[in-house]
Amino acid sequence: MELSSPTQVLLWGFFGAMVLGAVASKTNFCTMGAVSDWINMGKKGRLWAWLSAAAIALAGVLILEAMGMLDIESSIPPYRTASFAWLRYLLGGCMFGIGMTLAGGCGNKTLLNIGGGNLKSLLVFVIIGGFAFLMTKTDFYAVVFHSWISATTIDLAAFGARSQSLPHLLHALSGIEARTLSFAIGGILVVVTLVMALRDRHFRGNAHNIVAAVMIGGIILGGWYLTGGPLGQAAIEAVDWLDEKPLGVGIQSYTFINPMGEALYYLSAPGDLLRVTFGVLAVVGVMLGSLIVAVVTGKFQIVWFTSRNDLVNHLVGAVLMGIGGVLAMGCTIGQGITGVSTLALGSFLVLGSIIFGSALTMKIQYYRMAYDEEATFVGALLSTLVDMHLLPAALRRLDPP
Amino acid sequence: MAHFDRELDTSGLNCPMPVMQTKKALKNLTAGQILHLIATDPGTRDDIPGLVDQLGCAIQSSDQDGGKYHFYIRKG
Repeated sequence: MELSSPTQVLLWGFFGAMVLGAVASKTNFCTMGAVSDWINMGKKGRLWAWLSAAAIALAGVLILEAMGMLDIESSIPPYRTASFAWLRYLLGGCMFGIGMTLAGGCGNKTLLNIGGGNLKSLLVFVIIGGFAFLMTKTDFYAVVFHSWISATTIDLAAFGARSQSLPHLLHALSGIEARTLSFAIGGILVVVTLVMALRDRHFRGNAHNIVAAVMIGGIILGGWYLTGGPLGQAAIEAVDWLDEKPLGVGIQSYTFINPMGEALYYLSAPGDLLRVTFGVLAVVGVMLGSLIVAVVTGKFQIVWFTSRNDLVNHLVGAVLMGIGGVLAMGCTIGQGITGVSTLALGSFLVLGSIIFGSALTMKIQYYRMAYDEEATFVGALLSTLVDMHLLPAALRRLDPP
Repeated sequence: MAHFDRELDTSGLNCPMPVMQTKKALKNLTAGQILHLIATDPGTRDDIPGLVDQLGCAIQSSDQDGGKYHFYIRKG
Protein backbone atom coordinates (compact mmCIF):
# COMPACT_ATOMS: atom_id res chain seq x y z
CA MET A 1 0.00 0.00 0.00
CA GLU A 2 1.49 3.33 -1.03
CA LEU A 3 1.69 5.94 1.65
CA SER A 4 -0.06 9.26 1.00
CA SER A 5 2.12 12.22 0.08
CA PRO A 6 1.50 14.02 3.40
CA THR A 7 2.55 10.88 5.28
CA GLN A 8 5.67 10.48 3.14
CA VAL A 9 6.66 14.07 3.89
CA LEU A 10 6.26 13.45 7.62
CA LEU A 11 8.26 10.22 7.56
CA TRP A 12 11.13 11.63 5.49
CA GLY A 13 11.13 14.70 7.71
CA PHE A 14 11.40 12.45 10.76
CA PHE A 15 14.27 10.55 9.18
CA GLY A 16 16.08 13.80 8.36
CA ALA A 17 15.66 14.95 11.95
CA MET A 18 17.08 11.67 13.25
CA VAL A 19 20.16 12.14 11.10
CA LEU A 20 20.42 15.76 12.23
CA GLY A 21 20.25 14.67 15.87
CA ALA A 22 22.83 11.94 15.37
CA VAL A 23 25.24 14.22 13.48
CA ALA A 24 24.87 17.12 15.90
CA SER A 25 25.42 14.78 18.84
CA LYS A 26 28.43 12.99 17.35
CA THR A 27 30.15 16.18 16.14
CA ASN A 28 29.40 18.16 19.33
CA PHE A 29 27.62 20.75 17.15
CA CYS A 30 26.26 23.33 19.56
CA THR A 31 25.35 26.94 18.84
CA MET A 32 25.66 27.98 22.47
CA GLY A 33 28.93 26.10 22.68
CA ALA A 34 30.03 28.00 19.59
CA VAL A 35 29.47 31.33 21.37
CA SER A 36 31.15 29.97 24.53
CA ASP A 37 34.23 28.83 22.58
CA TRP A 38 34.50 32.32 21.07
CA ILE A 39 33.90 34.30 24.26
CA ASN A 40 35.80 32.07 26.71
CA MET A 41 38.57 30.67 24.53
CA GLY A 42 38.79 32.90 21.45
CA LYS A 43 38.08 29.91 19.19
CA LYS A 44 35.59 30.18 16.32
CA GLY A 45 35.61 26.64 14.94
CA ARG A 46 32.07 25.78 16.02
CA LEU A 47 30.83 29.27 15.17
CA TRP A 48 32.09 28.77 11.61
CA ALA A 49 30.41 25.34 11.56
CA TRP A 50 27.10 27.02 12.40
CA LEU A 51 27.53 29.83 9.86
CA SER A 52 28.82 27.44 7.20
CA ALA A 53 25.77 25.23 7.63
CA ALA A 54 23.66 28.33 6.96
CA ALA A 55 25.79 29.16 3.91
CA ILE A 56 25.43 25.65 2.50
CA ALA A 57 21.66 25.72 3.01
CA LEU A 58 21.53 29.17 1.41
CA ALA A 59 23.52 28.00 -1.62
CA GLY A 60 21.13 25.11 -2.10
CA VAL A 61 18.04 27.30 -1.78
CA LEU A 62 19.44 29.76 -4.36
CA ILE A 63 20.06 26.94 -6.84
CA LEU A 64 16.70 25.24 -6.32
CA GLU A 65 14.79 28.53 -6.59
CA ALA A 66 16.70 29.48 -9.73
CA MET A 67 15.80 26.11 -11.29
CA GLY A 68 12.14 26.66 -10.43
CA MET A 69 12.15 23.63 -8.13
CA LEU A 70 11.37 25.57 -4.95
CA ASP A 71 9.40 28.68 -4.03
CA ILE A 72 9.55 29.58 -0.36
CA GLU A 73 7.70 32.88 -0.47
CA SER A 74 4.83 31.30 1.51
CA SER A 75 6.89 29.39 4.05
CA ILE A 76 5.95 28.33 7.57
CA PRO A 77 6.76 30.61 9.36
CA PRO A 78 6.68 33.43 6.82
CA TYR A 79 10.38 34.30 6.94
CA ARG A 80 10.16 36.71 4.00
CA THR A 81 6.99 38.51 5.07
CA ALA A 82 6.80 42.16 4.08
CA SER A 83 5.56 42.92 7.58
CA PHE A 84 8.96 43.69 9.10
CA ALA A 85 8.63 43.35 12.89
CA TRP A 86 12.20 44.39 13.69
CA LEU A 87 11.55 44.82 17.42
CA ARG A 88 10.20 41.26 17.63
CA TYR A 89 13.31 39.92 15.96
CA LEU A 90 15.76 41.87 18.13
CA LEU A 91 13.97 41.38 21.43
CA GLY A 92 13.08 37.76 20.77
CA GLY A 93 16.58 36.91 19.60
CA CYS A 94 18.19 38.56 22.60
CA MET A 95 15.83 36.82 25.02
CA PHE A 96 16.54 33.52 23.32
CA GLY A 97 20.30 34.04 23.50
CA ILE A 98 20.14 34.83 27.21
CA GLY A 99 17.82 31.89 27.80
CA MET A 100 19.91 29.32 26.00
CA THR A 101 22.98 30.31 28.01
CA LEU A 102 21.14 29.94 31.31
CA ALA A 103 19.54 26.64 30.30
CA GLY A 104 22.69 24.98 28.98
CA GLY A 105 21.78 25.06 25.31
CA CYS A 106 19.33 26.11 22.61
CA GLY A 107 16.21 24.22 21.54
CA ASN A 108 18.17 21.77 19.41
CA LYS A 109 20.74 21.18 22.17
CA THR A 110 17.93 20.67 24.67
CA LEU A 111 16.61 17.84 22.49
CA LEU A 112 20.11 16.38 22.06
CA ASN A 113 20.61 16.49 25.83
CA ILE A 114 17.32 14.66 26.42
CA GLY A 115 18.50 11.96 24.03
CA GLY A 116 21.70 11.73 26.07
CA GLY A 117 19.79 11.18 29.34
CA ASN A 118 19.71 14.75 30.66
CA LEU A 119 16.50 15.05 32.69
CA LYS A 120 17.15 18.75 33.33
CA SER A 121 16.68 19.32 29.62
CA LEU A 122 13.44 17.33 29.71
CA LEU A 123 12.06 19.90 32.17
CA VAL A 124 13.43 22.69 29.94
CA PHE A 125 11.63 21.12 26.96
CA VAL A 126 8.31 21.04 28.82
CA ILE A 127 8.62 24.69 29.85
CA ILE A 128 9.75 25.87 26.41
CA GLY A 129 6.86 23.96 24.88
CA GLY A 130 4.42 25.35 27.41
CA PHE A 131 5.40 28.95 26.76
CA ALA A 132 5.56 28.39 22.99
CA PHE A 133 2.00 27.03 23.22
CA LEU A 134 1.01 30.04 25.33
CA MET A 135 2.45 32.42 22.74
CA THR A 136 0.91 30.76 19.69
CA LYS A 137 -2.36 29.20 20.81
CA THR A 138 -3.69 31.60 23.48
CA ASP A 139 -4.20 35.37 23.85
CA PHE A 140 -0.90 35.75 25.71
CA TYR A 141 0.97 37.31 22.78
CA ALA A 142 -1.99 39.55 21.94
CA VAL A 143 -2.29 40.84 25.50
CA VAL A 144 1.41 41.24 26.35
CA PHE A 145 3.16 42.01 23.09
CA HIS A 146 0.90 42.80 20.14
CA SER A 147 0.13 46.47 20.69
CA TRP A 148 3.68 47.70 21.06
CA ILE A 149 5.20 45.24 18.60
CA SER A 150 2.69 46.07 15.86
CA ALA A 151 3.17 49.81 16.47
CA THR A 152 6.82 49.46 15.50
CA THR A 153 6.33 47.03 12.60
CA ILE A 154 7.22 48.40 9.19
CA ASP A 155 5.10 47.55 6.15
CA LEU A 156 7.80 47.14 3.53
CA ALA A 157 5.23 46.92 0.74
CA ALA A 158 4.52 50.62 1.30
CA PHE A 159 8.11 51.24 0.25
CA GLY A 160 7.89 49.09 -2.84
CA ALA A 161 9.47 45.94 -1.38
CA ARG A 162 7.57 42.73 -2.04
CA SER A 163 9.20 40.99 0.92
CA GLN A 164 11.93 41.43 3.53
CA SER A 165 14.37 39.25 1.62
CA LEU A 166 17.58 41.16 0.96
CA PRO A 167 17.22 40.93 -2.86
CA HIS A 168 13.69 42.39 -2.75
CA LEU A 169 14.76 45.17 -0.39
CA LEU A 170 17.66 46.14 -2.62
CA HIS A 171 15.45 45.83 -5.71
CA ALA A 172 13.09 48.40 -4.15
CA LEU A 173 16.04 50.72 -3.54
CA SER A 174 17.96 50.22 -6.76
CA GLY A 175 15.56 48.88 -9.37
CA ILE A 176 17.98 46.05 -10.17
CA GLU A 177 16.15 42.79 -10.82
CA ALA A 178 15.65 40.82 -7.61
CA ARG A 179 16.72 37.54 -9.21
CA THR A 180 20.08 39.06 -10.16
CA LEU A 181 20.50 40.51 -6.67
CA SER A 182 19.60 37.13 -5.20
CA PHE A 183 22.54 35.48 -6.92
CA ALA A 184 24.87 38.37 -6.17
CA ILE A 185 24.05 38.76 -2.48
CA GLY A 186 23.61 35.07 -1.82
CA GLY A 187 26.72 34.17 -3.77
CA ILE A 188 28.86 36.70 -1.94
CA LEU A 189 27.58 35.59 1.46
CA VAL A 190 28.15 31.91 0.66
CA VAL A 191 31.65 32.39 -0.73
CA VAL A 192 32.81 34.82 1.96
CA THR A 193 31.47 32.63 4.76
CA LEU A 194 33.01 29.42 3.46
CA VAL A 195 36.37 31.05 2.65
CA MET A 196 36.59 32.65 6.08
CA ALA A 197 35.59 29.40 7.73
CA LEU A 198 38.25 27.43 5.88
CA ARG A 199 40.86 30.04 6.77
CA ASP A 200 40.16 29.44 10.46
CA ARG A 201 42.39 26.63 11.73
CA HIS A 202 39.97 25.71 14.50
CA PHE A 203 37.32 25.04 11.85
CA ARG A 204 39.34 23.32 9.11
CA GLY A 205 41.50 21.43 11.59
CA ASN A 206 38.53 19.71 13.20
CA ALA A 207 36.74 17.20 10.95
CA HIS A 208 33.71 17.31 13.25
CA ASN A 209 33.13 20.97 12.39
CA ILE A 210 33.31 20.34 8.66
CA VAL A 211 31.04 17.29 8.81
CA ALA A 212 28.53 19.19 10.96
CA ALA A 213 28.46 22.15 8.58
CA VAL A 214 27.96 20.02 5.48
CA MET A 215 25.48 17.55 6.94
CA ILE A 216 23.36 20.01 8.90
CA GLY A 217 23.30 22.53 6.07
CA GLY A 218 22.33 19.72 3.72
CA ILE A 219 19.56 18.47 6.00
CA ILE A 220 18.05 21.96 6.30
CA LEU A 221 18.12 22.21 2.50
CA GLY A 222 16.60 18.74 2.36
CA GLY A 223 13.76 19.92 4.57
CA TRP A 224 12.99 22.78 2.19
CA TYR A 225 13.02 20.48 -0.85
CA LEU A 226 11.01 17.78 0.89
CA THR A 227 8.19 20.15 1.84
CA GLY A 228 8.40 22.53 -1.12
CA GLY A 229 9.47 20.25 -3.96
CA PRO A 230 7.29 17.82 -5.94
CA LEU A 231 6.39 15.59 -2.98
CA GLY A 232 5.68 18.54 -0.71
CA GLN A 233 3.52 20.25 -3.33
CA ALA A 234 1.58 17.02 -3.80
CA ALA A 235 1.05 16.87 -0.03
CA ILE A 236 -0.23 20.46 0.09
CA GLU A 237 -2.67 19.77 -2.73
CA ALA A 238 -3.82 16.49 -1.19
CA VAL A 239 -4.53 18.17 2.14
CA ASP A 240 -6.50 20.90 0.44
CA TRP A 241 -9.17 18.38 -0.52
CA LEU A 242 -9.65 17.07 3.02
CA ASP A 243 -12.52 18.09 5.28
CA GLU A 244 -10.34 17.60 8.36
CA LYS A 245 -6.95 19.01 7.57
CA PRO A 246 -3.79 17.98 9.41
CA LEU A 247 -2.00 20.85 11.08
CA GLY A 248 1.21 22.46 9.91
CA VAL A 249 1.27 21.28 6.30
CA GLY A 250 3.26 23.67 4.15
CA ILE A 251 6.68 24.68 2.90
CA GLN A 252 9.12 24.63 5.80
CA SER A 253 12.35 23.29 7.15
CA TYR A 254 13.70 22.49 10.57
CA THR A 255 13.04 24.72 13.55
CA PHE A 256 12.43 23.69 17.14
CA ILE A 257 10.73 26.15 19.50
CA ASN A 258 7.23 26.32 18.03
CA PRO A 259 7.38 22.55 17.34
CA MET A 260 8.00 21.95 21.03
CA GLY A 261 4.70 23.72 21.68
CA GLU A 262 3.10 21.64 18.93
CA ALA A 263 4.47 18.49 20.57
CA LEU A 264 2.81 19.33 23.88
CA TYR A 265 -0.39 20.21 22.00
CA TYR A 266 -0.30 16.76 20.41
CA LEU A 267 0.42 15.05 23.75
CA SER A 268 -2.66 16.74 25.24
CA ALA A 269 -4.75 14.60 22.83
CA PRO A 270 -2.52 11.78 21.57
CA GLY A 271 -5.33 10.13 19.65
CA ASP A 272 -5.67 13.14 17.35
CA LEU A 273 -3.12 12.36 14.65
CA LEU A 274 -4.00 15.56 12.78
CA ARG A 275 -1.85 17.29 15.42
CA VAL A 276 1.27 15.39 14.31
CA THR A 277 3.17 17.97 12.28
CA PHE A 278 6.53 18.11 10.49
CA GLY A 279 7.78 20.01 13.53
CA VAL A 280 6.52 17.46 16.05
CA LEU A 281 8.30 14.64 14.24
CA ALA A 282 11.40 16.81 13.92
CA VAL A 283 11.48 17.16 17.71
CA VAL A 284 11.09 13.41 18.20
CA GLY A 285 13.59 12.61 15.46
CA VAL A 286 16.37 14.76 16.91
CA MET A 287 15.92 13.20 20.36
CA LEU A 288 15.95 9.69 18.88
CA GLY A 289 19.04 10.38 16.77
CA SER A 290 20.87 11.68 19.82
CA LEU A 291 19.71 8.72 21.92
CA ILE A 292 21.04 6.25 19.37
CA VAL A 293 24.47 7.93 19.33
CA ALA A 294 24.55 8.14 23.13
CA VAL A 295 23.75 4.44 23.55
CA VAL A 296 26.10 3.24 20.79
CA THR A 297 29.02 5.33 22.14
CA GLY A 298 28.28 4.44 25.76
CA LYS A 299 27.68 8.06 26.72
CA PHE A 300 24.06 7.81 27.84
CA GLN A 301 23.98 9.23 31.34
CA ILE A 302 21.13 10.35 33.59
CA VAL A 303 21.77 13.91 34.79
CA TRP A 304 19.67 15.92 37.26
CA PHE A 305 19.92 19.33 38.95
CA THR A 306 22.78 19.77 41.44
CA SER A 307 21.62 22.91 43.24
CA ARG A 308 18.75 25.36 43.54
CA ASN A 309 20.77 27.83 41.44
CA ASP A 310 21.10 25.24 38.68
CA LEU A 311 17.32 24.65 38.74
CA VAL A 312 16.45 28.37 38.73
CA ASN A 313 18.84 29.08 35.83
CA HIS A 314 17.30 26.32 33.74
CA LEU A 315 13.74 27.41 34.53
CA VAL A 316 14.38 31.07 33.72
CA GLY A 317 16.32 30.10 30.61
CA ALA A 318 13.50 27.87 29.40
CA VAL A 319 10.89 30.63 29.85
CA LEU A 320 13.08 33.08 27.93
CA MET A 321 13.59 30.57 25.11
CA GLY A 322 9.90 29.70 24.90
CA ILE A 323 8.82 33.32 24.66
CA GLY A 324 11.86 34.65 22.81
CA GLY A 325 11.89 31.83 20.29
CA VAL A 326 8.31 32.54 19.22
CA LEU A 327 8.84 36.32 19.23
CA ALA A 328 11.89 35.84 17.02
CA MET A 329 9.95 33.42 14.80
CA GLY A 330 12.66 30.83 15.28
CA CYS A 331 15.74 29.69 17.13
CA THR A 332 19.44 29.11 16.45
CA ILE A 333 18.47 26.54 13.82
CA GLY A 334 15.05 27.87 12.81
CA GLN A 335 16.27 31.39 12.14
CA GLY A 336 20.04 30.96 12.35
CA ILE A 337 20.18 28.40 9.54
CA THR A 338 16.71 27.83 8.06
CA GLY A 339 15.71 31.50 8.12
CA VAL A 340 19.08 32.81 6.94
CA SER A 341 18.88 30.42 3.98
CA THR A 342 15.90 32.49 2.75
CA LEU A 343 17.96 35.73 2.84
CA ALA A 344 15.26 37.30 5.03
CA LEU A 345 16.58 40.42 6.78
CA GLY A 346 14.76 39.50 9.98
CA SER A 347 16.62 36.18 10.13
CA PHE A 348 19.97 37.98 10.12
CA LEU A 349 18.74 40.28 12.89
CA VAL A 350 17.67 37.28 14.96
CA LEU A 351 20.99 35.48 14.38
CA GLY A 352 22.93 38.53 15.50
CA SER A 353 20.78 39.23 18.54
CA ILE A 354 20.89 35.58 19.69
CA ILE A 355 24.69 35.67 19.57
CA PHE A 356 24.70 39.05 21.33
CA GLY A 357 22.33 37.90 24.09
CA SER A 358 24.33 34.73 24.70
CA ALA A 359 27.71 36.49 24.68
CA LEU A 360 26.41 39.20 27.02
CA THR A 361 25.16 36.60 29.47
CA MET A 362 28.39 34.61 29.44
CA LYS A 363 30.53 37.67 30.04
CA ILE A 364 28.30 38.83 32.92
CA GLN A 365 28.41 35.32 34.41
CA TYR A 366 32.20 35.32 34.17
CA TYR A 367 32.55 38.76 35.79
CA ARG A 368 30.39 37.65 38.72
CA MET A 369 32.27 34.37 38.97
CA ALA A 370 35.68 36.05 38.82
CA TYR A 371 34.73 38.51 41.55
CA ASP A 372 33.24 35.70 43.70
CA GLU A 373 29.69 37.06 43.34
CA GLU A 374 30.75 40.38 44.94
CA ALA A 375 30.29 42.12 41.63
CA THR A 376 26.77 43.47 41.28
CA PHE A 377 24.72 42.58 38.22
CA VAL A 378 24.67 46.22 37.10
CA GLY A 379 28.43 46.53 37.53
CA ALA A 380 29.02 43.34 35.54
CA LEU A 381 26.55 44.45 32.84
CA LEU A 382 28.11 47.91 32.43
CA SER A 383 31.63 46.48 32.33
CA THR A 384 30.57 43.88 29.76
CA LEU A 385 29.01 46.52 27.53
CA VAL A 386 32.25 48.53 27.79
CA ASP A 387 34.21 45.38 26.80
CA MET A 388 31.93 45.07 23.75
CA HIS A 389 32.59 48.73 22.84
CA LEU A 390 28.90 49.55 23.26
CA LEU A 391 29.46 51.95 26.15
CA PRO A 392 32.27 54.45 26.83
CA ALA A 393 35.15 53.29 29.04
CA ALA A 394 34.19 55.84 31.72
CA LEU A 395 31.19 53.65 32.62
CA ARG A 396 33.34 50.60 33.47
CA ARG A 397 32.78 49.40 37.05
CA LEU A 398 35.05 46.32 37.07
CA ASP A 399 38.46 45.58 35.63
CA PRO A 400 38.44 42.69 33.15
CA PRO A 401 39.25 39.46 35.05
CA MET B 1 45.36 9.05 43.24
CA ALA B 2 47.35 11.66 41.31
CA HIS B 3 48.71 14.63 43.24
CA PHE B 4 46.88 17.93 42.87
CA ASP B 5 46.91 21.32 44.59
CA ARG B 6 43.27 22.23 44.11
CA GLU B 7 40.10 20.36 43.20
CA LEU B 8 37.19 21.80 41.21
CA ASP B 9 34.02 19.72 40.99
CA THR B 10 31.66 20.86 38.22
CA SER B 11 29.50 17.74 38.36
CA GLY B 12 25.99 18.41 37.06
CA LEU B 13 26.90 21.68 35.40
CA ASN B 14 26.45 22.11 31.66
CA CYS B 15 28.37 24.21 29.15
CA PRO B 16 29.55 26.94 29.50
CA MET B 17 29.87 26.72 33.30
CA PRO B 18 32.62 24.04 33.51
CA VAL B 19 34.79 26.02 31.07
CA MET B 20 34.26 29.32 32.89
CA GLN B 21 34.87 27.83 36.33
CA THR B 22 38.00 26.05 35.13
CA LYS B 23 39.30 29.25 33.58
CA LYS B 24 38.82 31.09 36.87
CA ALA B 25 40.36 28.29 38.92
CA LEU B 26 43.47 28.15 36.74
CA LYS B 27 43.96 31.91 36.97
CA ASN B 28 44.10 31.56 40.77
CA LEU B 29 46.89 28.95 40.68
CA THR B 30 50.60 29.67 40.48
CA ALA B 31 52.79 28.20 37.75
CA GLY B 32 53.40 24.50 38.23
CA GLN B 33 50.38 23.87 40.45
CA ILE B 34 47.91 21.19 39.46
CA LEU B 35 44.14 21.50 39.25
CA HIS B 36 41.99 18.39 39.52
CA LEU B 37 38.83 19.05 37.52
CA ILE B 38 35.80 16.79 37.82
CA ALA B 39 33.07 17.17 35.21
CA THR B 40 30.00 15.32 33.99
CA ASP B 41 29.31 17.38 30.85
CA PRO B 42 30.47 15.25 27.87
CA GLY B 43 31.34 18.46 26.03
CA THR B 44 34.25 19.00 28.43
CA ARG B 45 36.19 16.27 26.60
CA ASP B 46 36.63 18.73 23.74
CA ASP B 47 36.22 22.04 25.59
CA ILE B 48 38.77 21.56 28.39
CA PRO B 49 41.75 20.60 26.18
CA GLY B 50 40.97 23.64 24.03
CA LEU B 51 40.84 25.93 27.05
CA VAL B 52 44.02 24.45 28.52
CA ASP B 53 45.82 24.95 25.22
CA GLN B 54 44.65 28.56 24.97
CA LEU B 55 45.82 29.36 28.52
CA GLY B 56 49.27 27.84 28.00
CA CYS B 57 48.65 25.05 30.50
CA ALA B 58 48.91 21.29 30.03
CA ILE B 59 46.73 18.28 30.80
CA GLN B 60 48.95 15.89 32.74
CA SER B 61 46.39 13.09 32.66
CA SER B 62 42.70 12.47 32.19
CA ASP B 63 40.37 9.56 32.72
CA GLN B 64 36.72 8.67 33.02
CA ASP B 65 35.17 7.06 36.06
CA GLY B 66 31.60 6.05 35.33
CA GLY B 67 29.82 9.26 34.37
CA LYS B 68 32.61 11.55 35.64
CA TYR B 69 35.52 12.96 33.67
CA HIS B 70 38.73 13.73 35.57
CA PHE B 71 41.35 16.15 34.27
CA TYR B 72 44.66 16.90 36.00
CA ILE B 73 45.79 20.25 34.63
CA ARG B 74 49.22 21.77 35.31
CA LYS B 75 49.31 25.55 35.21
CA GLY B 76 51.95 26.82 32.78
